[in-house]
Amino acid sequence: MSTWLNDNGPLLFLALLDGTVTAFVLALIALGLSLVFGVMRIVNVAHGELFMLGAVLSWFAFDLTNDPLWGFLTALVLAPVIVGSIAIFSDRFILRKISYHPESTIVATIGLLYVIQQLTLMFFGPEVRPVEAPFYFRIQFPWFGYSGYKLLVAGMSALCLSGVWLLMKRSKLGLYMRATQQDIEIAKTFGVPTQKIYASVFALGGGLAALAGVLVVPIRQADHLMGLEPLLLSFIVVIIGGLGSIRGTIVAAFIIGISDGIISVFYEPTLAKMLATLLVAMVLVLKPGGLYGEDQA
Amino acid sequence: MLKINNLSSRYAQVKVLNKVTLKVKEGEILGLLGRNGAGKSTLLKSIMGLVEVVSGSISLDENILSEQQAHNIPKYGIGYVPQGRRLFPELMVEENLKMGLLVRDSSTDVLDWVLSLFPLLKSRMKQKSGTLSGGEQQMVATARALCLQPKYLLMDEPSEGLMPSMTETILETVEKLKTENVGILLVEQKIEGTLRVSDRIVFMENGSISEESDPQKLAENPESLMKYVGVKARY
Repeated sequence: MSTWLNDNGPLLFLALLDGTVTAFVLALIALGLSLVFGVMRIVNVAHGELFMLGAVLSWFAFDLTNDPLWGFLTALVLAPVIVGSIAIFSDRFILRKISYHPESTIVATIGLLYVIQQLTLMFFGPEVRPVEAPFYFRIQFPWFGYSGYKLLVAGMSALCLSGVWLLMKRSKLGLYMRATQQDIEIAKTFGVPTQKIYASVFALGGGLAALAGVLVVPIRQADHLMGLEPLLLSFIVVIIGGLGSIRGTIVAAFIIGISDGIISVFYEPTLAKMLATLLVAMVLVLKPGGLYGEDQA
Repeated sequence: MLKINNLSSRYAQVKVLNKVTLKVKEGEILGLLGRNGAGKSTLLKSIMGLVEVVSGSISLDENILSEQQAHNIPKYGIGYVPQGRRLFPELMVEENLKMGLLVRDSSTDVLDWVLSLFPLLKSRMKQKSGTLSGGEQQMVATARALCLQPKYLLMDEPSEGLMPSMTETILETVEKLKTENVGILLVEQKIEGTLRVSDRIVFMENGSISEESDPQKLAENPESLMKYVGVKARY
């Protein structure tokens, strides 16, 4: 064991670092999907496209300012606002029109996915475009140096997750969101404007996805098809963690992120995805509500 | 005064209430009796804006409630204790009560007053309401509605599934609220208690008001009870 650790310790540490960064970003994307799923009872198939929009808007901000730091800061503020506004518009003119009917919303959000994707293709083009990181610095470990930006991404994601937790647990809006999640009819009888709450949740979900897109794009570049993989991983996280549960989403994102990092480094990335899918199947059979269920937001 | 005038309501395409007319004064307890499916709960839900009103109106003083969206109705001072409690089960007791306090920005004095009515809840504030016993849940449901300082309280079978002592506690609370000038529309299956606390009794049948009576007279001559509720015993 100690020989294995001596030989592979640095590689394992690298895998853990990469896995942690992946886990935090994944938690950020999946949390939006989970909140929408939990509160509104709808499956937003277009969630990955809102992540993609964040990344693409980040490229536009970078292109406009021609300065990595200013571009990053501009995108950090504007992308969640723009994507949140698109989410509010979609809620008002699509989801509300079909009364948030579970099956209809799946079809509607598939349509939204293609509309966003094809519009991005029209205006952004089919190219894969790099976005420079706002700054470069390396953290030196005994065996290797590691991207300081990646650690910043993990830190900012953690900050956002804490912010959402505080919003849900300590604010009037959060209380109203949780009440609406548990009994929408009774929430109305206590003055909760549930339509506004739905719009807020959809905007918050979209904004979080866009924020994740802005943070990730200097690491992985922007293209109009980049929303698919995070969408699938987010579904895996949400199913494992439990609908609407912040704690469950974070725990599941770490299970998927860390295992993905380790298995990808030591074996094959494909094997990591296969095991994640197997884990989903096991959770669905053994604990259909997910590890924490919808009750532990 | 809470006035219901010629009210017809429906669920989807099914008409459930048919031209219901009713008035409840402040500080008055109106007992609403009838068999299952008579439309009692639907009437309360219609007042709260949860059921589509087809025709007629609901008004409180000068305000037409039936023209309001559901979430605005409690702001006029209408509290609702639904059938089966329907607490927010994953919220703590204090969060459930806060939902009531937020409706009309009630102060902590209101919370103190509500807790003085249900002192047991003081020790349950941090507990998830879904983990409480049935009786405790009913206390929270009533306390939650009282936190919005209602002028009128709509109570839908508050004693359902409760042991007699807890039913008595709920009825005593209803009597105390009368002294606070709260008007109460009480839907109940437990006839004896309802006759005891109510000022007037209204019977419903097939979505309509069938008869209005005095509780005292009903206690002496329970023919209407036999007819509309199927109770044989004399109260």
